[in-house]
Amino acid sequence: MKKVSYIIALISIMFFSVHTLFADTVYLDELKKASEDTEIKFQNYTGPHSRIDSAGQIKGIGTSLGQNVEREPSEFTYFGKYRIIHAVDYSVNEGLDADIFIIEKSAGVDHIDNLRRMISGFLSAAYEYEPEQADMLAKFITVYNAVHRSDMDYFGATYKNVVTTHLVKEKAGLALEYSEWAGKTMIVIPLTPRAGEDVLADLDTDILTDDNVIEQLQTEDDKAIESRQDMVELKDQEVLEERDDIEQERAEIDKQQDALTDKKTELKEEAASLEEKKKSDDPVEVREAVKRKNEIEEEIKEVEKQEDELTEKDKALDERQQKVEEREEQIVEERKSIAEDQNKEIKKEKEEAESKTATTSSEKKLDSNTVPFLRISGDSGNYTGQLLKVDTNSGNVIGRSDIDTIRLRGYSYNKDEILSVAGDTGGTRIVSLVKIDPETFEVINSASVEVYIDSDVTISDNKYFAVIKDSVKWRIGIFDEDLKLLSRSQKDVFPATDIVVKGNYVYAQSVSGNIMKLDIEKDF
Amino acid sequence: MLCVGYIIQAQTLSDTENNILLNPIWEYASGGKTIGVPVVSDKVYIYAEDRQIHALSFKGDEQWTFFLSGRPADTLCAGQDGSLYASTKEGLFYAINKRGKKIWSINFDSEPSGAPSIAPDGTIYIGLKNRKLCALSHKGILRWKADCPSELLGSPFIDGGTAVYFYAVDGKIYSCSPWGDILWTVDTACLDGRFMNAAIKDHVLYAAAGKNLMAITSDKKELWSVSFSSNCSGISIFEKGLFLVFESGKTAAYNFSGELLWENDKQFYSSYPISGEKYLYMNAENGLSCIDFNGNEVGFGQVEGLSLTQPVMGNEIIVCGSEEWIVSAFYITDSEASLWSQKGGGASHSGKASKKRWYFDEEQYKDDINYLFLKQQINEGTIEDKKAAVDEIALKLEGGKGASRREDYLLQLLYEVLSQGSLSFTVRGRTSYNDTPKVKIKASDLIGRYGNFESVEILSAILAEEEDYTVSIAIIKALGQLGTNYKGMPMHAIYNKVVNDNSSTAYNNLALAVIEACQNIREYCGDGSGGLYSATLFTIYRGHYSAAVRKKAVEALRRQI
Repeated sequence: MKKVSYIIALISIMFFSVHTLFADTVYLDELKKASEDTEIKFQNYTGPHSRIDSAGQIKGIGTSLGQNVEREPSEFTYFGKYRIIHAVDYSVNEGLDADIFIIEKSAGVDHIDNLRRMISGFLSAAYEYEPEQADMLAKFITVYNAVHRSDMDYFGATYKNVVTTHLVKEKAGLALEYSEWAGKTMIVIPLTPRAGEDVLADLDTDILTDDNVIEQLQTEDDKAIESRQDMVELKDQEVLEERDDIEQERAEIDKQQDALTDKKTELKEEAASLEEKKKSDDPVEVREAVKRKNEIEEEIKEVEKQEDELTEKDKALDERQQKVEEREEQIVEERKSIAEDQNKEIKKEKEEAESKTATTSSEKKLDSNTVPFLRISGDSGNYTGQLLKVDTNSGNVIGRSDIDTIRLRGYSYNKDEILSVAGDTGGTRIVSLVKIDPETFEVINSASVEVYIDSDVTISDNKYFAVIKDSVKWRIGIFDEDLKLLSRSQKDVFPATDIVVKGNYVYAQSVSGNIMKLDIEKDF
Repeated sequence: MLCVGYIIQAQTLSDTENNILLNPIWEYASGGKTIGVPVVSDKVYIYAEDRQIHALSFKGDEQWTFFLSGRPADTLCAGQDGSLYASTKEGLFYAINKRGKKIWSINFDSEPSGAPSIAPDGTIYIGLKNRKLCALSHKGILRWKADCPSELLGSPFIDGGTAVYFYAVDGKIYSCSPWGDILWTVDTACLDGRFMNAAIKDHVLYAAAGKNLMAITSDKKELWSVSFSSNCSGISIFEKGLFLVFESGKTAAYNFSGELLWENDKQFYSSYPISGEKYLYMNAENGLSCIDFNGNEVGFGQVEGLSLTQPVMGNEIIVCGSEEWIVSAFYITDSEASLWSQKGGGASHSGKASKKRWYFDEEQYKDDINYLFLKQQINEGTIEDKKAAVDEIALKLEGGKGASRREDYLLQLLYEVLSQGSLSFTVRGRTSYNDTPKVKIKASDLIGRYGNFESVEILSAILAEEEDYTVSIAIIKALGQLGTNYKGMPMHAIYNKVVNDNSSTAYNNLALAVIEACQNIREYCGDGSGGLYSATLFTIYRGHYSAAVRKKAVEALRRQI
């Protein structure tokens, strides 16, 4: 009996355990499913930085690299952080040349927008693209390189040896995660044979818009319609320029052909007139006539040789014309594809508008049917969190924050804001205080001072108190509502100290372990 | 970026307060920016950078697309019978029916200077950059090609029945006869094609070129002129006079005597104006502006995310292209566009005929000995005389080239042949009927080959009265050859003929001619004229005709399914 009871108890425990385990697994599976991306999506760092460079400064990195590019093969670096290899070989016709944009280990770029700015600056400086065109091309270049990340078979089949000899499998292309960029990135920028020759078509825009790239762009929220439109319009301009060039060259060939025809006619006429002279009694005259006739025959052969060369040039122009027409047809197909996507979006927006009720954006409060959940990942001692919005009815995750470096201690939320310590180190990245919108999960504000990774955070009288770094020491910092540092304690504290604020006093633990009472007016 | 619009209610631009967020009643992405201006006739037509003409219903649903092989040129326009015309920059000119099928094409080997203009009789006038002005019949037959001293700019402007006007690169405005003879020129002192516009009313040409506006009669008499401080970029006729838009963005209105009505510099307008029965519309600040006839802006709206371009109006909607490849439509309270409100000469963008038809002016030929001779032969001569006259007309039509063709009076004489009843003569008190319909049959055949929309009207009317069945057959064949179902007249006339024939004699040959004509018209137009095609064929099928004829009728019916 005891044994049976034991077995029953065991089975019950197992049942409930399995059920609970199953439930947890289901829930976790759902979370996992929701978090899995089926499309290429760049994971950017969204935490605080110690220094924020302006967009212009970031673009300037690319500009300074691009200014050095000329037709000949070359290599340039920007303070050892970014490098360009201008890999060209004009003696080879098969395959493409390329610029290889390398992110070195010491580089701090951690957001795809900034990387695109650099590439854009490079393109404008190196190939005189208009800023809007360069921005658009930079987007395609990053997606193209993400799609073909580490695909050495593809690069080998597409590019010349002069390009592929520089590529390393683990680094070729672009990773999705920003932490995989520094020291592990070789962005390939495909070039046309005429790159750098004062033509519009410096970059090979057909390669940048292969089916895989377009397919990925179509997974974006707006299907990247605007970028694809801009790309098509650039291609149209390239084709128009090529048409004009062909027309000009053909006109030149016609002109030369006319001149050669005239010359040939003249020579033939002269040759005909010499026949008469050959019948002369004067042997000198006859000799001169024969000599001149021979010369004329040689000249005619030379003219005919030049005519043949022009014919070859004309044929080459016909082939170029054929390629232009094929390209135009391809562009038309791309336009149709974009229009199809646009019309789908129009239909979708119309349906949403018809069912949607107007919402106001002034009230920001947590949806009563959702809760924010901090999902933890990482290793023991270095846990970080990402906010998930969980539907309380279904238990499904219906949203998540971009920021995924939230620290556990110091995390608090209410209906108006979520406050936490968050961030990462490396480059200009720091760990600091951040304020997050509880509805949208967007970072509203972040402090620019390093905060202890496990700092306590206390809110009192609309001010925030946290442990900040001051040179090599840790002190208590006081921040205003916009997370601007107002003052810091004059005394060091133990970095993991509790922070208690009462009235005008702050209680904290000293480095030696004592409890200090710090006067906000006098000790800060 | 797409428009993020909420279609809460369909607002009309002219009925709302200023500065509204416009809600399009529909939007459509066409694969590229609109080339030139959309056309609104029986549908909305857009010629876009994707080299396609898109046909949409008035609710914005795509009906069909037609691909033109070549780079698109700003040339889309509609004829009065609903046919569409468009050209590529390479000079390939197409006529397309309502179902999106090609009717015919012609290769000019030169880029058009602008959209063609369509005369009320269906003649298509188009300028080419190789300094030629061409006239085509609605069937694509080149009527004539005239050389011009200078490269043409933009679209020709048509004054029904009198003249064709066009601007040229040399800064002149040319007046041309309907047969390609240059009648006179006026120097405008403007060399910028963007500022060369015109409108016509009551045979007066209002030429807005550069900083000047001139009113000129068809015989080159200058009635008045006005100068401006800014270049005129658009002109439109409305109820009170002329509405002008300037490069500076200002607007002004003048009456038909050249007196200033009002000026407005409150907004910055940027497109060719179009006028309805109550309001004027044009682009401003990337949106649409609505102005009453006193110059007051009564409405302005923008669509989020769209930079609207040149509007066009018809069927109580305004349609605009945009820089973002999207075409939008909005409700308006004006029911119809003014005939001269559309860019390029009015009717071509609205598909509506002007009130004046292309008419035969006998006064022009009162001293023309050829005309007088032929007229006399036809109206007063013997049967042989009439036959000879028709043969001579045939020679002139078949062999005539260039501007000396003079089809207007040749066709007129053919109509007179057809209008005559049974030919008879009286000798010594005895009346003999010498009815040789061969002359009429030949006349019908010539009209079928060289006729126009006016011919369609006349043939349809004559068919109703014609008693001789061989002549009726010839007229029916001619209507089939003409192809167009202009105003529905041919199919109505043919249907009525079959109904009458079936109830009396049931001539098989007549039925066969009807079947063939119906098929030709259907192939040209793309549709069956509201069911008359089927009704006509069913009448034959169920009628007293032979089995072979009835079989042909049912085969024709099956082919349309």
